[in-house]
Amino acid sequence: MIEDALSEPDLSLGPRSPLALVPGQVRCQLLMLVRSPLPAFITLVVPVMLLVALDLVTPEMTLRSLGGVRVAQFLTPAMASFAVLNAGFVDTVVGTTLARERGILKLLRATPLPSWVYLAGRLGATLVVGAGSVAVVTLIGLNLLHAHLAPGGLGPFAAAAAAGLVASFALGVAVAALVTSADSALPVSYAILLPIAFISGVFFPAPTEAHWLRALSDALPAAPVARALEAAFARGAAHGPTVHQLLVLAGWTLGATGLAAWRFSWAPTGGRHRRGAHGTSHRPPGTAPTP
Amino acid sequence: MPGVIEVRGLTHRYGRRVAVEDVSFCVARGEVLGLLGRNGAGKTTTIEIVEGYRRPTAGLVRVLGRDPFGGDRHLRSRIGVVLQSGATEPTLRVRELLALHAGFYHPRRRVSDLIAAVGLEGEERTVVGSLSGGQHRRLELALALAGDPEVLFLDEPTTGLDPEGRRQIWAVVTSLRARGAAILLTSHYLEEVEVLADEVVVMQRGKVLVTGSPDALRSAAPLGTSEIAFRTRPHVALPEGPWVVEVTRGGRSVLTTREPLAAIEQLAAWARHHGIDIEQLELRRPSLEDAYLQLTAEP
Repeated sequence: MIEDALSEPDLSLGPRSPLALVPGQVRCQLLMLVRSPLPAFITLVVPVMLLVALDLVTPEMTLRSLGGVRVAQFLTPAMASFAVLNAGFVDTVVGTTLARERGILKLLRATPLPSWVYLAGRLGATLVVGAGSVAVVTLIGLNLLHAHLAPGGLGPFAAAAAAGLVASFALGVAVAALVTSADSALPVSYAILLPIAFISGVFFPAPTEAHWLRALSDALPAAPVARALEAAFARGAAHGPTVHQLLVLAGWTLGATGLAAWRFSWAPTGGRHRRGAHGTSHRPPGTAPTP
Repeated sequence: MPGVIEVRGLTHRYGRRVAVEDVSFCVARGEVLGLLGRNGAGKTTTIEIVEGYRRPTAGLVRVLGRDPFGGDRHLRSRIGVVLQSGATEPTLRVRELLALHAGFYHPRRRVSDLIAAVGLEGEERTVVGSLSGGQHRRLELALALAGDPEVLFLDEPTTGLDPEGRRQIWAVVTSLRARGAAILLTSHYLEEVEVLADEVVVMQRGKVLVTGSPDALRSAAPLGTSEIAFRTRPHVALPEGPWVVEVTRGGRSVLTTREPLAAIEQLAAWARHHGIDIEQLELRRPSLEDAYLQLTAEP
């Protein structure tokens, strides 16, 4: 009988603190990322593909603007920074928007799960996936393209990647707050990221002649990530992220967090979950859903 | 006894447009309230306000004595929600998703018990995205039961289910009601509301049109409370009587009447007098669906 099947709750299963829920969220977010082709393509395939393709079209070339280093020596940290931006920013915009439009966030808001635990889970998964992607890109650069990681560079390199992942994750949540449909999440993400990446020296060394462009890219979040990774990779232990780079990233992180707190909606804002005669989405319970 | 769900004078506007106006109802422990209305009647806005997703423009809403909007973790641990549209992560497996949600609650049910309750045995390792529509709906109900909800919001919970699946869900809802849960239900299946609901609120154009038990609603239907159906000779003109001839097709006549005994007596006398056979005579009360359609008929 169905009535018999609906058991009493099992009181031997103890309560879990919000902090104890974070690992479960990270695990599930990782499972979702691993099982979905789009995040794997965004975070891993795109940077690796670009690394190999750009190296193939520039065989044995050197970069005069960087003192004559081989292109592969520049490309390896550059594509690692692109992997950071893809995992932290693009994947967060796409994944968060999709979860909202599917009604997943709305349902979660009706459960006792604190909103910060959900976002911490996403951030944790982003850090793991981003780190994995950076590692793959770097290993390919070192082993197949014969780039060299400067002695003692691994620590600063990892620190720069982590700082970049946190900042780009916050920016991803903020942009997800403004994107109104899952369909537009990917094009909007790349429409924002690619121009910034180009002027920030992610794909080619940043132009030094145009001072205004250099000043602009210095103030944007991609350049600190790219330059910090490049410095750590090429020059090693003494070249971790600078205070200025960390301040720029912290500023963007705080600004993005504020924007998300103001604008982020947990209910679908359009698409197939638009319901009823009115279809308007308002901020769901417990509002102030900040990352 | 105070209601577990209390709604008094609820009004909600979108800009200048009034979506819900002066809606009041109350759901006690161990009671199921059915919220009915055509699309655009204000049901979704009402239920979303009671669930805590929207702040009402005016009026008082209390769930377990608290304002659901901005509901704290404690309140949310005592409610279960089945949304109108599916809201689950398609790449997780059934067991993974249930374990994730169950972990939010204390007390909570075991995942295997939840799977058994909604009849998803054998699907534990199935990826959510590959479940059928009916299985997906069962999963959503299981998610809502993961804790020990004192209040359950079911927004069209059996949409897409086959008759067997629907009855399984009904049994779960009945079981929950017997345990004292207060349940707010919307459904397009009037038969479902008739079976499950103790009270029904019918909304029209944002307002409460009528409130009462399913029995009371049948009686409130304007065209009558009983139907007499029968088959007779084709093209026979029926006499005047205390009835309204509602449908005559396929040789079967349907009379709607408030005086079923007098109507049958008069009909029988007329048939005997003219030597007309009346076959397949059937007397039935209108279903809730009949009453609902009559009540909400637009002029």
